[in-house]
Amino acid sequence: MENINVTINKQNYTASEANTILDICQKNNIDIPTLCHHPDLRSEGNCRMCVVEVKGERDLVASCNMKASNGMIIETGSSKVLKSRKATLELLIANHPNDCLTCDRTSGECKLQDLCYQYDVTRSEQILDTLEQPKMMDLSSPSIERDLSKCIVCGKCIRVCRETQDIGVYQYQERGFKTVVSTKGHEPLIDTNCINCGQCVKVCPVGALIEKQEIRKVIDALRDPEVHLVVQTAPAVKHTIGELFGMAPGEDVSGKLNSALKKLGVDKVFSTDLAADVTIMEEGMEFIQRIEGKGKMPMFTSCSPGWIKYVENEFPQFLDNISTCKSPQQMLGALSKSFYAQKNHVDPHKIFNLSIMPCTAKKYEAQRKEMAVNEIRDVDAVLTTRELARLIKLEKIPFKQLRDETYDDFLGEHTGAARIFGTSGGVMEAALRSVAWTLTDGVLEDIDYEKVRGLENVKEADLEIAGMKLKIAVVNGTAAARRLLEKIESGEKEYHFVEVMGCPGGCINGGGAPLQDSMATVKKRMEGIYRMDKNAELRRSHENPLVNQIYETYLGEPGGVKAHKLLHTH
Amino acid sequence: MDNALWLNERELACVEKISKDASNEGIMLDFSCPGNAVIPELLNAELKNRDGRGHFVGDYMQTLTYHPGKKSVTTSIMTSKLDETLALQNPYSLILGMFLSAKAISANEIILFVGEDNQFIAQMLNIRIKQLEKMGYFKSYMVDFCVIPIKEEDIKYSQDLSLLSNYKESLSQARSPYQGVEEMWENSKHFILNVETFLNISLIIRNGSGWYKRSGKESNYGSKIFYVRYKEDGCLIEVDMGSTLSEMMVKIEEKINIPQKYVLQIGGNLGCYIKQSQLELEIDFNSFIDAGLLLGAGTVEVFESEKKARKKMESSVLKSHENSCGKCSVCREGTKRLGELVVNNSSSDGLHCFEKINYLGEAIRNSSLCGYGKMAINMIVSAANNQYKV
Repeated sequence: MENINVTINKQNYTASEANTILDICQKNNIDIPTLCHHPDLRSEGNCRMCVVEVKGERDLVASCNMKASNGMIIETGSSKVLKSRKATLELLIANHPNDCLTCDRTSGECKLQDLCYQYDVTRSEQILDTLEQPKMMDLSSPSIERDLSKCIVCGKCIRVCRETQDIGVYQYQERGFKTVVSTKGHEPLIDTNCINCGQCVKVCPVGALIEKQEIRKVIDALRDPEVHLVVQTAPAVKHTIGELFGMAPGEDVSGKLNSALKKLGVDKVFSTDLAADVTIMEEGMEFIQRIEGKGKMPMFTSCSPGWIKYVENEFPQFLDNISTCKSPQQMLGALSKSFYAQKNHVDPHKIFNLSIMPCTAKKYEAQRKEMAVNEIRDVDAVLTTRELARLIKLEKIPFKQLRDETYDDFLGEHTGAARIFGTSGGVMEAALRSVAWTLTDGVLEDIDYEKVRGLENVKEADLEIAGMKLKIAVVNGTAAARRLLEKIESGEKEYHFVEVMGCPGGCINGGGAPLQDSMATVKKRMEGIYRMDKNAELRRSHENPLVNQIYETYLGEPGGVKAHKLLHTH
Repeated sequence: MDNALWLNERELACVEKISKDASNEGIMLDFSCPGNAVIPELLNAELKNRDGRGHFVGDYMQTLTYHPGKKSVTTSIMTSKLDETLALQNPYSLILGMFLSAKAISANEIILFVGEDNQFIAQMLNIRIKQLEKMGYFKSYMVDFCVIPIKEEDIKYSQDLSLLSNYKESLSQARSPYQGVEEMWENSKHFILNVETFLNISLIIRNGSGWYKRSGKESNYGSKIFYVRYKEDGCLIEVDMGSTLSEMMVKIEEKINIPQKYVLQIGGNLGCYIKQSQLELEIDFNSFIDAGLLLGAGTVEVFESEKKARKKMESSVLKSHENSCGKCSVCREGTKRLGELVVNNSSSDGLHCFEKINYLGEAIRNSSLCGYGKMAINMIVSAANNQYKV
C-alpha cells in the first residue's frame, strides 16, 4: 500500500491509501461522530452521522465508507456538515421514545443522547413533533431484552451476528419508514437460533438491546436478612470492570472489586478462578480418559455457554465431543452450596449464589435444567460486568478509591492458570500446563504455551507430551468455530483437543463486558491477564492448595463419583 | 442525433442481419471489443448515468473493476414505459451494452429483472441471448445471463433501479428492491444502470466517443429520451442534452395532441411539476436537480391544470418513503416526515412549515446513502417551494 497526502481542515496528513477518511481522522484525533460504525465490523454508512465535505464532490460523503485518495481536501466541521448531522439527529429523536430517565443506557452509554448534547439538539427547539412510540418489547430471551421502539436501525447487531458470529438472528424487516431490525418473521428471540452471546448488546448504540436485567433481584436478595449471599467473580471481570470507573483496560482490580462487593453487603466473596482450577482437574482427567479411548475425540471445552448452545443449534452431531464438565461458574455455584455450605453449617436453601460475569449467555446457562443438584440451582442470579458497575454506582461506592481486599476463605485461592481462562487460549494453556505435568510425572514443566495465545480467531499447534503427539486448536467466535467444525467433519482437519469460546477474543470481549470497546481494547485486557499470570506465585491449577484440599476432604478423586455428580452435566 | 437510440437504424439492420447471417462481422466486432477499451472510451465520451444524478459511467465502472468480490451487471424493466419501449426496440443494443460492461469490470453475471407484466420482453430477451450465444457472440468473455421475472407483489421499489447504489462510498447498495432475490442482491456488487444508459454504452463503443460528443453540450453530451404521456396518449421523444423543455414540447406537439395550457410533471413519482412559464429550463442534470425534477426516469406527464399536477405530486410526496429501503437514516425518516410536512401542514402553518422543510431538506438531501434518498428529498423540497413560494 502506498502513502497518500490529504488535507483535513486545512492541515496536511500522510496516510495509507487503504484508509477511509474516518480512519485518518480517528488516527489524528479529529472528532467525527458515528452511530453505525464499529472498528471491528464492515462499514455500511447507514447512519449518515459521519458525513464530511470533500472538495469536488457535489454531495456530502460518509467518511466511514469513503476511501481517501491522494490530494483529497476534506472539511469535517463546515456549516454544511454540521447542519446535516444536526438534521439527522433531529429526524432520529423525533422517532424515538426519548425515555432517557428510565432507559438502561445512561451516563454516557447512549451514543444518540451524547450526540444530541454535542450537536445541541434539544426538546424545546425540536423541529418535528415526536411520534407516539408503541412499545415493542421482546423479553423472551433469558439473556437479552429488546425494545424495538428504541432501535435507530444502525444495523450493527445484524452485522455482528451475521458476520462475526455467523448466526444471523437479526435482519432488516419491512420497508421505508416502517423499517425495523428484527428477527425473521418477528419471532421472539427465544424461538430463534440466538446463542445468547450478547455481541449485539455490545454494539447497540442505544438502549434497544440490553442484557436481561437482574439488578433488582440482587438488591432484593441483599436486603433480605434471611438470605446468605455468596458472590463469585469471573477472571475477565477483574481486568475489565475498572474501565467503567475510569481505569485502564486490563488493569487487575480484584482487590477493589472484593472491597466493593463487601460494601454492597454480600456475605462471602469467592472467586470463579478457584472453580477454573477445579475445571482443569476435571477436564484434564476427562481428556486423559478420552485419549485412552473412553469417549469421542476431539474433545471440546465446555466453559462457554454460547458455544454449547451453538453446537446444540447448528452441529448437534458434535455434542458428545464436548466435555461433560460444567463451566467454572456452575462448578463454583455447586461447590458453594455443597462443600462451603456443609463445612460452614449453612443451609444451602438459604444461599443465594450471585455470579458476576463478562457474559450474557451465563444468565441463560444458570437457568439450564441440568445446572442444579438435588433440585437446588447452582447459581441464582448473574450480573454482567456492566450491571455490577451500575449497582456499585447506584450505591455510591467510590470504586477507584477503595482499598484492596482479599477473597474469603474456602473458595478464594487461585492460580495464574485459572486467571487466563478469561482470554482465548487460556483454558487450553491451563489444561496443557497440568496435563503435561501429570503425564510426565512432573518432568515436563512447560508453563508458557505461546502458540495458543493471541486474538487470532483460529490457532493451531502440534505438541509432543509423554511420547504422544497431540494436535490442538483454539478458536474464538462462532463464525471461526463453524469453519473449523466443517473441516473436522469433512476430515480435512484432525485434532485431539479444541478450545472454543463463543465470543471473539474470549471472555474479555464477552457480551457483558464494558460497551463500545474494540479489539484494540480487548488486546489490552488480554495483556493485563497475562501480566497477572506471569507474576502469580502458582501457575498450574493442580498446585492450588485449596483445590487439593477440596478433593482430599470432600470430592475424592478428580472425575470420581461425587465430583461427577456435582461438577459435570451428565 | 435524432432517433439515435429508439429508432436506431443500425440496430434494426442488425436484427435482420443476425437472423439471416450468423457471421455478421460488424456486430461480431462490437461484441469482440476488448474489455479494457471500454472504460477509456466511456471516459472520453464523458457519458453520464441517465439516472438523474449524472455520475460519470466510466468512473463508476472503474471503481467496480477494483472490487475483488462477486460483481453483476444489472438493470430492470419494470413499470417504466421508457425502459419497456427501449428494450423492446433495441434488444441487441441492450444486450451488447450489458455484455461490454461485464467485460470491462470482469463481472460474474448479467442480471435483467423483468416485471411480470413484461413477460413478453423477458421471453424476447431470453431468445435473443440464446441466439447470440449459439452464434458465438459471447465467446470473448464467459458470463452468465439471468433474466429474472419479478412478480408484482414482490416489487418493493418502483423507481429507476440505478439510483440504488453509491459507488463512491465503497460500492454501497440499498437493500434488495425485490422480494425473493435478496441473496442474489446482497452477495454481489451491482453495476446498475437503466436501459437507456446501457444503450448509450453500445452507441459509444460502436460509433466512438468523438461521434457521441458531437451532440449535446459541454459536460452534458449525448441525448436524453423521454416518454411523454397525456391522458391515454403517449410517445417517445429524443432530444439533445442542453435543449430546452420548450424545444422538446414543440416536437411533442407534432406527435400527440396536448392542450394549449398545461403543466408538466417530469420524473415519474420522483419528479416535481413545472409550469409553462418555466419551459426555458435546459435539459441537463444540474438544471433539473435545481428545479426539483428528475432527469433519469424520463417520464413526462402532461396535465391540463396545476391543481391536477399538484394532486399527483402530493400523492407521490406522501408515498415516497415506501420506496426507501430503510437502511439509511435520512432517507427512511426524512422522506416520510418531510412529505407529511409538505402535504398535511400546508394550510395552518404554511410559512413556518416551509422553513422547516427547507432547513431539514437542504441539510439531508446531500447526505443520503443512495440516489433514491437524494432524489426523493429533492422532490419534497421542490414541492414545498412550489407550495409555499409566491
